[in-house]
Amino acid sequence: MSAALAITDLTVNRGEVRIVHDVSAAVMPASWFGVIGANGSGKTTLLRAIAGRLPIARGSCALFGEECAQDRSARAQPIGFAPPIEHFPASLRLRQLLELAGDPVDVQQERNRDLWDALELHELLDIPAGECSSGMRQRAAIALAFATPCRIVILDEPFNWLDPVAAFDVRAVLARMVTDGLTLVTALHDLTTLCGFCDSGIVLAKGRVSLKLDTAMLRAGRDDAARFESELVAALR
Amino acid sequence: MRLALAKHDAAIALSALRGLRGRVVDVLTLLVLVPLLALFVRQWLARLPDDPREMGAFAGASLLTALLAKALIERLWFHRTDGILSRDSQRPREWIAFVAPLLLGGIAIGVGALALLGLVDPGAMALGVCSGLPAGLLFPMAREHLRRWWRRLATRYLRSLPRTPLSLTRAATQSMGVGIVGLIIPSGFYLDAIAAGFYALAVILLTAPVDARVVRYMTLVGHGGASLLRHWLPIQLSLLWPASLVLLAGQAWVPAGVAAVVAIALPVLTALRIFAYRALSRLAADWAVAIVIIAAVYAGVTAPPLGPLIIVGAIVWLARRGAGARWLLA
Repeated sequence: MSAALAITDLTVNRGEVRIVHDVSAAVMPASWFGVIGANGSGKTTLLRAIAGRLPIARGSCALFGEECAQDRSARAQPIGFAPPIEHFPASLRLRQLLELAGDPVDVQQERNRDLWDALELHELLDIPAGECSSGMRQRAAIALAFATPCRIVILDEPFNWLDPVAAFDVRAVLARMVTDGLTLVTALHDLTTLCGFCDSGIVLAKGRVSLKLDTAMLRAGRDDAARFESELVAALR
Repeated sequence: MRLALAKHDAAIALSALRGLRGRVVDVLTLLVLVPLLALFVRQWLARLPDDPREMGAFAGASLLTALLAKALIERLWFHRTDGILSRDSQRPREWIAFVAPLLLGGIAIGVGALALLGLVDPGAMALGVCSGLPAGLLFPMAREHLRRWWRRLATRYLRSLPRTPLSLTRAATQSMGVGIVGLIIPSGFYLDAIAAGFYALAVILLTAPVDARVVRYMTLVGHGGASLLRHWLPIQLSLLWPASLVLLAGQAWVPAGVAAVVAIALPVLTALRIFAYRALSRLAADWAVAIVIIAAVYAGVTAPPLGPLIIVGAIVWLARRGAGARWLLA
């Protein structure tokens, strides 16, 4: 079975500065892939480049076997991606944000009913983004990644600003969506989600892969959290 | 006195300037176009008689002072409620030390700019500063009270109106209705043309605003140029073209002319602003649009076919320049 997403020697620059160096990874269909790393290690830049939001300087990126490293649109169109909440125009209501990003709101709600329930989005639709708290905007951002039907979705630290109940519910819904065929790539900071829900992942340090995490390692991490944490921290340093 | 607020905002301004230094195109736009625009305005003002120039000095000084005072008051409110220096901003000495020099310095720069443009009438400038200052100070407070009043007194129906989009069919029907009313209104004293003008003005006020952040957001979530135009233009066209056509069909030439000019100019200028916001930073886009409009009007007066050509050329250039911004999250 070919990988849903395969990157080889991927290099990404921001301006003149090289942020991501020769990163390689493969994400199988219907799996949850975690990217973990210290602040400034290049997680966001890597995810944005894969999602077609930044150009790739060098290397290969294939979606379901189709090479698209040099075609940003070919990556951006099929990948669901949550825009950063600071880019939401204050004047638009969350309903308008969702409609501008994809299908009509009713269609999105019908397709992503469980996710919308977990996010409690119905109550937020008519609030202007400028009047929303960070948590409310983060809920909308997660829904925006699913505004069009996508087989691959990338979420950058999706549980930031969410309250514990919402984070718990959203994580459970995302896990069910992965079981149903979604390929999910997330940047994370919490080991609970990484060990408990991810099937594989990478640890980034200073823009390079410092550790590859396979299913066996993550399962072992679930059984012996303290040892896994110390190994991970060593890789992050 | 620590001057914490002033130091904090000075650091932000310096950082913004450093950021601008890296954006060569924006700097070039400012360095080349601002002096050109100033020269053009100075030349144009020099030909005006004394009375309108005095009025210009008064209006310019009043507007500048009002905007400056409003900006400073709003910034101070931000410092007091959300800023990291809210403790400092509660102290009268600190906030006075923050507001007073910026206000005086801003007024001095503004008056200097007016003098550079040739609007040197000390009496009118002093009057403008004195009238603009209370207006700028009171505006944010008046707006806040109006908002509170609206939330408390307006019915749920009235508050929901701004978020109810007008359907295109309904807009076109209303526009045709306005056209028919324009034909019924007597043409003596140009009443029909005045009515058409008011309608066009209302359409401009309702549909002309283009939020740069919305353009950026739409571009970020994958909208191309045609899609951006489809978001803003259809409602303008539906509100203006049927009225113009009805007035034309009824041979009411003057109101038809008024409506037709707005029906053509408004969508074109909206398209220009949309593509400018997509291709350039907001500051550079606003300047670019202002300069293109001035150049087009000037060319339209001196060599008529050149005016529309300049606008079309600018739209095409901006559309091509911004095409790569689709999906981009820099």
